[in-house]
Amino acid sequence: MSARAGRVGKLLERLRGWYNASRSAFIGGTIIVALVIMTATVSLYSPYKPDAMDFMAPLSAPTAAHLLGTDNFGRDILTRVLYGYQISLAVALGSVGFGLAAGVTLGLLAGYFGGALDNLIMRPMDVLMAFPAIVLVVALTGFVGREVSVMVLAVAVVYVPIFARVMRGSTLEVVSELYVEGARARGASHLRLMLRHILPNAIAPVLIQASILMGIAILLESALSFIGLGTQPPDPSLGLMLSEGRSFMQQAPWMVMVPGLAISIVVLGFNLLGNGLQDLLNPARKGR
Amino acid sequence: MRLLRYIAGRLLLLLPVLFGTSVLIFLLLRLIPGDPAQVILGLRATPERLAIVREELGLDLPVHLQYGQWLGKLLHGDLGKDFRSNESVSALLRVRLPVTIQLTLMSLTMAVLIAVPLGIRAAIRPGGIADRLSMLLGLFGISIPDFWLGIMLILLFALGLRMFPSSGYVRLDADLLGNLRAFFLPALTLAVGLSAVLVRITRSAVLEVLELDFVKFLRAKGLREQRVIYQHVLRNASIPIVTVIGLQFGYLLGGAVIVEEVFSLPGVGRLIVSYTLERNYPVVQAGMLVVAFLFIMVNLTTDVIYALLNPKIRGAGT
Repeated sequence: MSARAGRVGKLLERLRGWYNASRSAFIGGTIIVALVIMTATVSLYSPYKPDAMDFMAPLSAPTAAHLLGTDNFGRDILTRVLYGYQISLAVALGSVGFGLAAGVTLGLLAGYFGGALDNLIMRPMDVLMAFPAIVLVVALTGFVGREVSVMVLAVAVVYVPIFARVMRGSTLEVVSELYVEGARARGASHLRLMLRHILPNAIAPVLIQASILMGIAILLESALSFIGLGTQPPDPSLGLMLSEGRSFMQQAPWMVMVPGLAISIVVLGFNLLGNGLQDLLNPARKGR
Repeated sequence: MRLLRYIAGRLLLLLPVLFGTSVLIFLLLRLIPGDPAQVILGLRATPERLAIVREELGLDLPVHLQYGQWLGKLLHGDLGKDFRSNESVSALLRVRLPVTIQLTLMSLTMAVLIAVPLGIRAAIRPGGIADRLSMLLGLFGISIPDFWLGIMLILLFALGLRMFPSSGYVRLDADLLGNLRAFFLPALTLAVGLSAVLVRITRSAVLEVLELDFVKFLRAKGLREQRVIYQHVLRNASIPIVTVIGLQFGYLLGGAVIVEEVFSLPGVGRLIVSYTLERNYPVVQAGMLVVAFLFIMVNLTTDVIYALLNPKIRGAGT
């Protein structure tokens, strides 16, 4: 009993430590962890299926049976939101993962070798950055297809230049550090220098960016689904639910309020986490 | 003179970027699956008819020749023709572009009017009400999806309070007041996200300048606080603010795509979306090109203003 109490106490202490280190990162992280757990396990506890229609209760306002109301087909909105998060999070994770992998590689190479290779890598990145993200993503999904995998790749294409630019910048800062010079003098290969010495020391700003871009990916996915170029019915996607709800917004305002709020909460979580990480990494700029 | 040389250098740099952009747009829309001739004629078209249409559109040529043709016409101001209606794309854009430009300029103005005074006040009194407001705006403004914000504004101000129309477009030259009323909610929707970014940058830029010695000197000299802030501090803090406004213009153009959809405004963004849905290559190509061109020009203008504000840059950039 007391051993368990001790363990709980230690856990609480550790949580308090994290909270004190950065309130923003702690709250953001908590929101995300909670949402991920709720979303991943939704099929275990939700009494409804996301596409189960209840013809007795279409457009029902929030009640004890349907906590956040139902849509025009009588589908439970809370359940659909939780399933919708699965698509949002999958797109965010996939696109940030791809963008990060490609962008970090390119940025590292450009920053480390410099010169002609730097130009060869970064000039096309400038061209990619000359488009507003949504325009590029609309064109890609519109012409290639509206599957989740296409959305992931489209958003990743937008992210590669962003990650590459951040990684190149922080590589340039690290590459002239003494410990890199030292390792080079000891005869370390290019690959070893990049992977063992530069990458771990230059990656932090990229990870902060990744947290913010997770949020933006969720916004992009929902925007795409909202204009009809993303997730297709009857799959539950937050953006799609919003656009379906527009026709009923006067009779059933919860149909548009709930999905939008759901998007805002998860994006807020990622933004808080990103801000908090930024403060932790760079305490001098805290509150700026 | 150095300023002129700087601008000339920037203009020269513009050429490769514009070239790269046009290639990218062309390849993007051409190398992906789907046959435009099939789209035009429908699934039951005969192979002969398909071949004729492909030839008419120049689709039977190798890709690099197609690009050459397209670019050649482009340089003569010919943006091609709408696949379906056979209307010229330039005519289409001439109608659509003013809508998007008015939307983005109005929301830019609103964002500056909201964010800059708030950011200044937040910096003058850290921890005060303005500071808290600016923190909330900075956080929620970038977390709330703009299309949802737009819908909520429609629900509240258009359907609820009936202060503004919920959608639709009124031409500027037909009815000025009606036009401004139609644009108010969409512009506000776009402005919130931008002002979130802007308020943070303003606050931190002003904070940084306030710590400098010359501000202490001006205050010690007995200059009125208003003049210290608005004449001296703001001028010195304006460089990062202007830069961010320029960088965020792309965000506005992108946001316009969605916001035009929410408020049924017939702008370029909505044009790109609806013509993408029907795979109308020439129109989408032209629309994207115009958006990218606007974006690049705004970045150039930002750089020039930057150089005007900060003489140190002029020599360095070229």
